[in-house]
Amino acid sequence: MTSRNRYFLIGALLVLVAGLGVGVVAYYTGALPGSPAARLNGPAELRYVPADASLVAYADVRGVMQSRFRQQMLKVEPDEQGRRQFEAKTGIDVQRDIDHVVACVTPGTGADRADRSSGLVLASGRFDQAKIAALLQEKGAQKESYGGVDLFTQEASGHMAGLEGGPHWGLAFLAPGTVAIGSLRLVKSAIDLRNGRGANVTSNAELMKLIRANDQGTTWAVGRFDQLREQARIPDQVASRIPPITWFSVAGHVDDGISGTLRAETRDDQAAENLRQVVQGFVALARMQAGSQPDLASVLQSVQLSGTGREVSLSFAVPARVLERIPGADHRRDGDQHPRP
Amino acid sequence: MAQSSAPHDGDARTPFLTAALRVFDLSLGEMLWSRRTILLLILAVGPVALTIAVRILSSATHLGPVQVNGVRLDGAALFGLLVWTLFIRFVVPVLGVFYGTGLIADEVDDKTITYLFVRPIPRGAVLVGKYLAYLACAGLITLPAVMISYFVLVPLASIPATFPSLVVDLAVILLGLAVYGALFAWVGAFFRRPLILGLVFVFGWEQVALLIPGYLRQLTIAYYLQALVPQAMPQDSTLSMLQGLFRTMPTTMTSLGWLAVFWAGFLWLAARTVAAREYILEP
Repeated sequence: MTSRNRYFLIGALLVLVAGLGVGVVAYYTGALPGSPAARLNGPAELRYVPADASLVAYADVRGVMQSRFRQQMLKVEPDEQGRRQFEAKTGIDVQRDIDHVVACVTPGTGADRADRSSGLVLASGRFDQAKIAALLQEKGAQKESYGGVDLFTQEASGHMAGLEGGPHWGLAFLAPGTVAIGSLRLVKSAIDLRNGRGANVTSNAELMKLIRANDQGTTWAVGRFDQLREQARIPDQVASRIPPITWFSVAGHVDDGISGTLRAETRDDQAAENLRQVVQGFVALARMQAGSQPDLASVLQSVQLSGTGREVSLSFAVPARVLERIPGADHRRDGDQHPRP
Repeated sequence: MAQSSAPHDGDARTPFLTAALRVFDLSLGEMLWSRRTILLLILAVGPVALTIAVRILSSATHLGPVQVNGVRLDGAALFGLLVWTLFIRFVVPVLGVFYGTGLIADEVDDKTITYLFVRPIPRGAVLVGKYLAYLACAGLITLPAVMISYFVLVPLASIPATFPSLVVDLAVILLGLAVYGALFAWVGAFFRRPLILGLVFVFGWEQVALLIPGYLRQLTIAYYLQALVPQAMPQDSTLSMLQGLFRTMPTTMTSLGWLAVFWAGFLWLAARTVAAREYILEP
């Protein structure tokens, strides 16, 4: 072999080996050293999430709040009743105080899982602890010390009922700028994990694999579909028609518009193929129906179905111009509360 | 006066593999620095230049990310589109046609095949050696080009999540080069006008057969290749979605199995054809 040929072969192989080497390092470590994705194990708050979580979700609240998408949504629904109720209850203004949140759901603790599942929200941001504590106590919350942390507990009702896992919900500041709100059991579990007792979700290899794969969007959620279905107590007639999905993930990016990807992992290849065909059929039908509506057609045009083996993946994008045409968004623009004639 | 190159495998004294490697060594240099390499370079460097241009343009603040039909495409989606539409559906078959059909046909046209056939090596080893040289030449230019395009287009943050797809893409491109190369090596060894036949197969038969419902698509290579990279396959129209409803995608193992059968079958046929055929060299 001539030296010219040898140099070519070595050069080409070097490019390939270098590229594959960088990719393998990135794949196994979760990120390239020094890259923006160097958050190796997802958000730091995952260390307060128990290992048996069946659903973990993340939202970049600041990013969403500042997005053009939210500005459009405010025109449609300017009241934000839920946000105000939450602020009245906890003293935390979601828009002003929170940077990002991590939420989780864990299965019930009963032997047959017949009892209710529990939820926990871990919010990161800027909190006036003294003011919030005073407000909570004013509203009737009990203060106790648990694991060296002040824990506020109260009967669950209204909006907080969605977080309950028992008769009480709790709130505790786990670290400066990190607050845990949710079922009392999970808030106590988060305090235990903070003090090094128990295993957190970063030891759950299956869940962490999905979290690493999705931890790039503004919002994401990953979880075990089969466990959530069990907890939802769906009637047998309905449950038998739901595809046998084991894991699922949803990742979205909110800026001018919304784009996202839904992924599901089924029990076997055949189930995945069936699910792909069903989704494909629905999308094709929707595209035919949307022929006369250009905005809807452009959204449906963005829908991409893919996946191999047991994985089914569906991605979509809603452009900003479609959001601008949501009924109500146009006539409320610039403070005009009256519909156009 | 026409020369004849009659089959004479009886005088083969060198072992097949050794002979094939010797022919590979000789042919690699010829292929790398031939005029045909200009085509290969254009096909490989073109997408890289395109990705660099897209990256520069999308980085410019006044233009923003690339949009297709008003929908933003991220780097990974754009790379998937590039792999599917440019590399798998175009570059790989075209390289297979131009290099594969020329393995023996070029030697016949140049009347140099006699010099290879008078050597004391099995005739089939000549084809296999040349085929390996094609695979090395095309693979070592195309795969680095795909790799560079990937790192140009996909942001660092997305690499951990998308790297497995890149490995699959690289493997499928190499597999495509191998199978198309084997098919067209046989076409080049057997038919008189192999280049035209090859182009008709790639841009005529494969395109039409994939659209027709039924079993005809199973007689294409693209059908099995596309089943291995569904993550990169765009579904940008209602028609393609509806076609998808009636399309049963073969499983990964079925696709790999059939591609292996095509590869081994056509390479064996090509070697057998070269060993058995008497090439008439026109004056």
